Amino acid sequence: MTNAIEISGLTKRYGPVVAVHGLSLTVSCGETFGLLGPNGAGKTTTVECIEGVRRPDGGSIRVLGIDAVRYPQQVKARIGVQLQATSLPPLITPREALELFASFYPNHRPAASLLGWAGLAEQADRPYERLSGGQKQRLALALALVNDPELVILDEPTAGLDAHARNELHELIKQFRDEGRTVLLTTHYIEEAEKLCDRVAILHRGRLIACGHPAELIREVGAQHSVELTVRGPTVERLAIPEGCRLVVRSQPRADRLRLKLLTESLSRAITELVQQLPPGSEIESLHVRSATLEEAFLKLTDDINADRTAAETSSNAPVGQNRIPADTGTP
Amino acid sequence: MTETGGTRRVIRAYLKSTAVSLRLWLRDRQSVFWTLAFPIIFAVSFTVIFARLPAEEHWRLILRVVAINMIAMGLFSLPTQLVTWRERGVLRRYLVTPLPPALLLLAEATAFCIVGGISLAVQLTVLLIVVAPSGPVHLPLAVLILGCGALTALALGLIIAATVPSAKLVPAVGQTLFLPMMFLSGATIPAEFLPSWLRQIGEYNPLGVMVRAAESVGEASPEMAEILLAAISLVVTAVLGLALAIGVFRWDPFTALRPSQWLTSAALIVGLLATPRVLKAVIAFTLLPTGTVYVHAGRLWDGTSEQLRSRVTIKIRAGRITDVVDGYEPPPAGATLVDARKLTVLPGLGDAHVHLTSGGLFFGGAFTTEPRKLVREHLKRYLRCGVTMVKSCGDAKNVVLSVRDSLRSGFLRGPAFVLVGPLFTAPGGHPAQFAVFMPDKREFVRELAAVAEVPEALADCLGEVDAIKAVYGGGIPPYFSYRRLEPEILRELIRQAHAAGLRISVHVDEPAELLAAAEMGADGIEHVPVTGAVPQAAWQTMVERSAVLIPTLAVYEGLMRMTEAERILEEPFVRETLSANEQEVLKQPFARFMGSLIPAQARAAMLAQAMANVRAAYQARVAIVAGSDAGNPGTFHGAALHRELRLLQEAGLPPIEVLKAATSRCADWLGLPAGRVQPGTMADLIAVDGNPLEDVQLLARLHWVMRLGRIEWQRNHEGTTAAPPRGQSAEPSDGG
Repeated sequence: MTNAIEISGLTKRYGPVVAVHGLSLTVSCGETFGLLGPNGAGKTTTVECIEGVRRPDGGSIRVLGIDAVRYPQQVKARIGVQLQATSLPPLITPREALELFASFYPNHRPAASLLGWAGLAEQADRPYERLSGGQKQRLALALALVNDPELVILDEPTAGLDAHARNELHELIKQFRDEGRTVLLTTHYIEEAEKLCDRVAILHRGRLIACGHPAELIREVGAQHSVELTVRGPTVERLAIPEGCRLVVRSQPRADRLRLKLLTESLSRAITELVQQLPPGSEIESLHVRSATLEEAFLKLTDDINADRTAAETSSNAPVGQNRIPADTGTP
Repeated sequence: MTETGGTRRVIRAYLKSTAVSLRLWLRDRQSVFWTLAFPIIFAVSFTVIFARLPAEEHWRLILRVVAINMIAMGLFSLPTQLVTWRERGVLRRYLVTPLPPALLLLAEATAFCIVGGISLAVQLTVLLIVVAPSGPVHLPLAVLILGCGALTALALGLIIAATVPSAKLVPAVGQTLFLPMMFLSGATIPAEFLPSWLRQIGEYNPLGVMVRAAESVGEASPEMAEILLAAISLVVTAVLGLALAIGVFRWDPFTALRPSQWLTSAALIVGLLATPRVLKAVIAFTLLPTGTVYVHAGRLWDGTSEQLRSRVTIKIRAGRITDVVDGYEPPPAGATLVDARKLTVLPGLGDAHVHLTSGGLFFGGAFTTEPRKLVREHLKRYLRCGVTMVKSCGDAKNVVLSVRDSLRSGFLRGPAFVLVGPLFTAPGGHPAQFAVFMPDKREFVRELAAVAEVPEALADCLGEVDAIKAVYGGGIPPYFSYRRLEPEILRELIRQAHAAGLRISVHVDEPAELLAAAEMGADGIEHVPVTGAVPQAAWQTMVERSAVLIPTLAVYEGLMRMTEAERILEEPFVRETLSANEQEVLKQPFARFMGSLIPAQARAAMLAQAMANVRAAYQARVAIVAGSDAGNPGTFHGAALHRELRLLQEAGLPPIEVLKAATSRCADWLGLPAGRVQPGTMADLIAVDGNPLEDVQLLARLHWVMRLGRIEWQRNHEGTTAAPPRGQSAEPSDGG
């Protein structure tokens, strides 16, 4: 099976600024793939090159087997796109917009079914300017599907939406995946990537710094779970710190109270040992456990890069298509 | 996806986009206001304010107002919307569809054109109902010109939209473009109020082309060819402009034009503005006569020789005479043969002193609101009478300049044309006393009170006029009296005209004035004095300085015959060229009253004195050039030259001298390659039955008139003159 997207050595400059620096990555068919990175990492430039809106300065892009640099119009006919920072004429209705864009494509889906799918049936004839932010984004998603595309590219689909609207949109994106479409999305909401994506790639300053399944990335980076607990009892100060845990906070607000914050790589071991070592007569007043997230992995990765810019720049070729991370990471 | 499927899809997408754009436009109250309501409010209030103008002006007023509306709409409405949309990222969205982005622009422009068309129709309907103009209303032509003009304005607006980075800048950039174009177009202030260099710049203004064509549509009988040319050049400009706009259009709010793109666009826009001008030149070039014509002339007088030549072939190519050979040479294939084996062929005649903006009935022309039309009619009369070169010796400069322009471009057919523009005279001097009849006095006369005023007054004419005419006369006592130009001003005027390489002729009334003007170096003397004998010294001075005399005897006789309309009507060519209405007016008591302002006896004495002076001038070997002063009361365009020739003959000039005065010598005075039948001159010929070297009155037996190798008029087969209705008197016949 061919890959949905194959990028190799993609480079794009804006004057003296190198926005994308020799990027290579592959998105398989049917996969939901996330491009992550802080603002200015080169995510939008990358997707715009894939969409055929921008011409790369170097490298090759194949989309659904088509050379996207040479035949952008063919690519555009087969993909669905939701652009960042886009809008529609203020007075157009969702129905008109869907019918209008449908006329641009050889294959298209009927407006009514897309309106129903996006939950816009009631707003079908309301002018665009009177739609809520979530409704506008759902319309944008519906427009991306108007040509029944095999590949859908979503650039920051949930930016600026409230939690409820974001959840609605997540459900719609999950449906794409369930229908067997390939989805490429960019986001700077890490939990969104974690929730939706089969694989993510992390971009930083135009380079790929990591790529893989979210859980793998977390593990490889060595991100840690945190445990916070407050113990009450006469001899709480005797509570020992389990092995393999790093103490972050230790405080004794009152004589009979002890508050601890620990970081650990193994949650089960840390919890078991803490419970076993509880001094007699003491009681756990509160216990909060938070699993390590992609966000921590992400921050760790980008921090490491920032801390050691020289290292990153001398090893000029960024890791390609594998779950590698810079060598100097991993020691907490 | 097959190619045809692709094409069909593109067409479907274009139609769908157009339909949606149109619906959105009509849904937007603000757009509807600016494109439909506001223009009507503006137009109605504007026309109501000016409704006091004479009713025949109303149609032109409507055209002018609607033109302003259409220009403003084209420049601002759609461009503002597109730039707003780009700022909001609306246009970006189209970039990720497989359609060529230009299609969207085309669809938007199409939808807007439909809106503009509706607006135009509503504006014209409402205005025609509210203002109710009198006279003919040429609605299809109006729609054509206003529509094409709006299209051009739209293309310019789209170029603004293509390059301007923010919607806030559209009004700024648009107005910077709009206001000068508006002023230069003549829509707001008449173009003749502008200095000549600004008017020249205005030539490169597509909106000026539109407004001038709209003005032309406003005339009772519009010049079709010119209006169509304007329409074509507007459409071509619009198409080029649209292509340019599409080429440089920015879709993305985040990308800016590079400096090189700015420069290219600026250069292309400048080129675009020159399009109408260039196109006009190109079309004029294609209108130049190209064919080969052979004339078999039974007898030929070449404009200078003492003798006639018999049985010659005159070869003509591209409007010029290329060769004159003995015998009747058969024309090559594809050439036209003009058979004049039974006729005498001679050069077309010239009239060196005419006033085209009046018609010969008490300055009647000065009252017209359509001076251009009047001039065109008079030019046709000249061709009808065998006159193929004329010199406008005092007409509104703006009018004759535009007529000369039309003649040069080939859209208007008429005699070769040179002009002097405004007359330089004393404050209140002749002809400023008639200022009340002049729609715009500055175009007719320049009153000079001091030597210091000469350079500026002259500078305003340089580059436009072919010669200068000054008035150095104090009137004909006791009947007329006016201020005479100060001698030092005239001297300075002559010096500076010569320095500028222009010939200057001087209007004189009295013998002493003639002497003074000749001594100051005048190249020509207009009018022979009627109050007394001209001193011999004056003639000597003229001969020494090779100055010419244009006696204009015809105008004196015209004045004399105003009380005897029948005698004028019996003169050759008068009935053939005057409209029935003009003939009626001539017979009315007012004409007799005008004619009798000077007692009959005095008029006869004046003419006799004038004839005597001409005889003396001839005997003194002064070069005499035929000029009629047509346009004055009783002196009609075309016919008056034949009167002048008869009077010169009666004054004692032999027929050959009279003919030279109207051919070779006239052409030399006017500076035209004409008046001679020889290689290199313009193929302006006439053919008459009989030998005019025996009697110039035989010229009345005119058979055909050729201008630039093309027969412009010919006697019909029955041998009687065709008497076409007014306005068509000089139409070429089909025979060609």
